[in-house]
Amino acid sequence: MIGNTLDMINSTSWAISLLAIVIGRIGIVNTMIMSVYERTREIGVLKAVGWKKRRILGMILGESIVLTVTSGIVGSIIGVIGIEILKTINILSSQMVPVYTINIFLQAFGIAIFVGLIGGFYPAWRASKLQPTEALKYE
Amino acid sequence: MNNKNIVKIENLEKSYENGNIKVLNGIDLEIKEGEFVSIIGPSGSGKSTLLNMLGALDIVDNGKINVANYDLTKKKNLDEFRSEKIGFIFQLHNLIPNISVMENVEIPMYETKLSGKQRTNKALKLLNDVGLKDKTKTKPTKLSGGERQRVAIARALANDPAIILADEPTGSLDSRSGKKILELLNDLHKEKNVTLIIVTHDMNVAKLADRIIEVLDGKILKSNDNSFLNEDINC
Ligand SMILES: Nc1ncnc2c1ncn2[C@@H]1O[C@H](COP(=O)(O)OP(=O)(O)O)[C@@H](O)[C@H]1O
Ligand SMILES: [Mg+2]
Repeated sequence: MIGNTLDMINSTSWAISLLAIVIGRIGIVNTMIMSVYERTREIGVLKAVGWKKRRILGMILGESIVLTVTSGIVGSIIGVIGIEILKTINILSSQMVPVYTINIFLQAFGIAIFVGLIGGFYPAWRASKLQPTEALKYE
Repeated sequence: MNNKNIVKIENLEKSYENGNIKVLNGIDLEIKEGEFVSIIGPSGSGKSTLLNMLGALDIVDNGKINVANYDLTKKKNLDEFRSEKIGFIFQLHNLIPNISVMENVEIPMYETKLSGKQRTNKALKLLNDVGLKDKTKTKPTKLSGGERQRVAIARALANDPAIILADEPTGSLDSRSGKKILELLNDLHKEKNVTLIIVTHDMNVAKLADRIIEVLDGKILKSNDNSFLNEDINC
């Protein structure tokens, strides 16, 4: 009986984590796509002055990594602070003990960077294939 | 100016929207190395499209186009061509707003062998030449229209291009800053012997050139040596 209840709590918390991950990833991809899309015109300028596709992609991917790692760090800090606040105001029941394992952080970072790269790469690749005049038309 | 052609175009055609908008309808044009040419014609006649073809900013549909010994119909090494042979100046300058003037001028040099230090020195020299020595750290958004266009000129010169292409470079400037920009371009053409091709609808600008090319409906109407000019065209 007790085992069953624990199982349920476990799977519920797992489902919540999964939901958080999915929402978070969609957020990252969306942010990356938008931020690269907004820079289509800038990519047009770089093409017009002779930058190779490879250099443009490299620049965008480099920035994507910096952006996602920074957000990963900020996100982790906010997460820990949030949990500590919950702990001090005693809102967590006695059965809920927050644990931070290095694995959780590594996983979070790994996924964030991977997803950030995909979100940055796709629009950058599309924009770098445009003719410079086409890219320069974007507002 | 010597007698070698740096631009050779034969029967060039370009259309947009899957061929529904025909913009260039068979352009034939030769331009000599070191020549200063202006392209005039009413709005929508295809001047910018022609200039974009010359700078490989867009691909051609049909015809032959050879610029600085690159066959631009081949769609190969166009980035190298743009980087080494062309300096482009746009009507609305197209500077990158969130980086400094200095960095904007350095941008084309990333595709060259120059070191970071050499890039910086060259950008400094170019900005000095266009009279913007004290604005190197400024963002383009903080500059006047004329100053931005001078940054664009410095950027166009970054890789010592063989040809400078300018699309209405004074079109959005007041007449005083416009005059200054033209003087800069004219000096450049004289001192460095670069080939200079300017699109304009201002006859006063066009008159500075060795030759005026008139475009109408995507065709070249006439190509006049500047000496006949005053009888021929009334703008
Ligand atoms: N990318 C494009 N897509 C569709 N139509 C275009 C495009 N670029 C230019 N045109 C059309 O081609 C014609 C010539 O344009 P353009 O070369 O800019 O003329 P100009 O510079 O002489 O004013 C115009 O009718 C313009 O609307
Ligand atoms: Mg135009």
